[in-house]
Amino acid sequence: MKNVDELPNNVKWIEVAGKDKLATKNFVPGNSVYGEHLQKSSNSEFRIWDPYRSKLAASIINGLNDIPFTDGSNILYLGSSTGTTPSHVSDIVGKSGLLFCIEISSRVARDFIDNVVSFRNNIVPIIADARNIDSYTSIFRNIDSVYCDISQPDQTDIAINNCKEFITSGSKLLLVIKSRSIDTTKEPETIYEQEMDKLESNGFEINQMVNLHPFDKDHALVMATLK
Amino acid sequence: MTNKALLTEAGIIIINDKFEVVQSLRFKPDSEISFYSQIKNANVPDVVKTFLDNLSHEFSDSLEVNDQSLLEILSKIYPDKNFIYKTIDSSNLFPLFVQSGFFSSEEEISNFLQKFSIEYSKQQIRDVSGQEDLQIIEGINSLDELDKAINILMARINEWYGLHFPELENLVKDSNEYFKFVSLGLNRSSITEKDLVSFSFSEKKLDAIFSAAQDSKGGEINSKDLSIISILSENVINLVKVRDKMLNYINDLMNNVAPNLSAIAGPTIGARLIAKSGGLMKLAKLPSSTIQVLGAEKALFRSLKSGSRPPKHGIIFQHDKVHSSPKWQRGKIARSLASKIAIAARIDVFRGSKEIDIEHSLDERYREIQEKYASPVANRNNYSKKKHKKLRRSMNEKRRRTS
Ligand SMILES: C[S@@+](CC[C@H](N)C(=O)[O-])C[C@H]1O[C@@H](n2cnc3c(N)ncnc32)[C@H](O)[C@@H]1O
Repeated sequence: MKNVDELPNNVKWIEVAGKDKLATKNFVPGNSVYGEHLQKSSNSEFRIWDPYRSKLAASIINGLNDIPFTDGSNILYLGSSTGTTPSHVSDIVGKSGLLFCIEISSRVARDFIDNVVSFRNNIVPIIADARNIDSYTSIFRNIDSVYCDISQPDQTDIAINNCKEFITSGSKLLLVIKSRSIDTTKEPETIYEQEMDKLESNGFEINQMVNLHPFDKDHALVMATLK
Repeated sequence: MTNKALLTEAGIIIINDKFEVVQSLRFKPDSEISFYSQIKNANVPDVVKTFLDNLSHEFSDSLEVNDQSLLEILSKIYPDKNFIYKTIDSSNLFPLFVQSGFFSSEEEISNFLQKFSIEYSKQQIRDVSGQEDLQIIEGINSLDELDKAINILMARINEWYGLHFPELENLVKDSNEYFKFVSLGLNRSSITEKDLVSFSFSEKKLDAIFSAAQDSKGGEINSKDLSIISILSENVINLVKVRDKMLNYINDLMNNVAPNLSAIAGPTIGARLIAKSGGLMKLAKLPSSTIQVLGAEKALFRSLKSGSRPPKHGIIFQHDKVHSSPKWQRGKIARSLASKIAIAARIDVFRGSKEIDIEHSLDERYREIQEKYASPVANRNNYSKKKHKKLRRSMNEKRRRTS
């Protein structure tokens, strides 16, 4: 287990029962989103961030350095699902940041809105297909970085298109690659390479790739910068 | 010099190439969502129509539009003008909102847009939520009833027209063609080639029909009888068309609402399971042993009472992989199908999107069973009393829970 060089403001390691656990400063003290443990530390309440539930937590634990989210960031989040990871990102960006969440399924979006958005005024939920940027309601802040986790075969293209529309040169993309949703017959490593090549030929520079093993099988997270 | 038309959450704004507002329409405050979503659904509220109708002097022959729905609406109003789809950077939106007098401060705009997005999402959810499984249930029940009605009426028509021309049934085997034939209301003694041009019967077939018509064992019929039979037949043909539409409708809805269940069970069987259990959420909560016998309740309760062998499958027996397999494999295939269905329904409820490789796991298991149990094994299915007790307990529990 490797620590990241520098964690964003609202993220830290907390000792729970003798073990160091990743946690984010609770934006809504007292509120637990998916049953995660709440823990006081230096006068603030923190939410333990479970790497088995959140791929972003898994990638941080596995050595992702330089997370591009911090206090005040405006983030475009593709594939928010019921909001496990978004809730922690919401903790990180705090009250001056904003999280635009795109989710295609209205069923999971309902849970997301009821259980997460309604307690957190730094989230804007948008029910739309991330392939169809035209169907979004206004993304009304300049976006600092894009997070994409939608397990679709064409998800790298989807991420690229969203980046081209919403971020400018120097901004970052975090892309979760689930090799099984792209091609079940190929080796995961081959697929990670192939998707990174795709990013490079579309004007991105790859900063880092983190394998999410043992928290997730056949998953990697790639951090890339739009040139 | 091209002007732009912008659909925004608060209204429509027309700007020139210097980003100066030349015209604008503010949606009625607190009803913005209704205006916005109507336009997105290609409906045009009256005020919007009036506004758009009077735009002609704002552009000469082309106009850029930031939204596809608005673009389509405009193309209908101005069929000979040229509209180009082009988005604008949303950072330009704020000054335009202020310039057009929609809002006075950035803070006001942010608050509005954030509130708008939440409410708009909630409305999208309301539009589909809960309702979808109800539509599926009504749809699949209609499909099954249509099938029943079509079968009954077809048998009736066969019998009725058969009084007059019994040989036809064997000559025109395709039921679509047969009922089309009957719907022409032809008296067999006066059929001409011209009557049958719309069929693609071969020369040989035509000869056979004519000679059968002449030597028919059928009785005479008058034009009143013929006319009512032909109307009935025409309507059965229409019912078949309705049935096909219904099937497409169910397939679409199922692929949308329960893509994983559809991939595993097939859309119609998936829909029947939803109907039988009372909804997708309820289906997702059932153990796979119950899913396996859904639709075979009668047989199951009979078995519980009498201690006879319980049914191995209910609705899922209709699945190709089950009913087309040899008898001794069916129970195993049904069990693995049911367990995959249980997983698929849960993914549909809790995640919502299609798992790419979900059908593979079933195919694999299916192949395994086919190989491993290629031939019938003696003394298989050793049905034990113990199992029976367990089953009875779980059924009683289920009955208690549902009552
Ligand atoms: C793996 S889950 C995301 C989990 C979430 N990021 C977390 O860590 O809590 C993938 C989500 O992407 C959504 N999705 C799939 N295709 C999409 C698309 N084309 N546009 C937007 N969302 C999509 C799915 O409905 C699903 O909720």
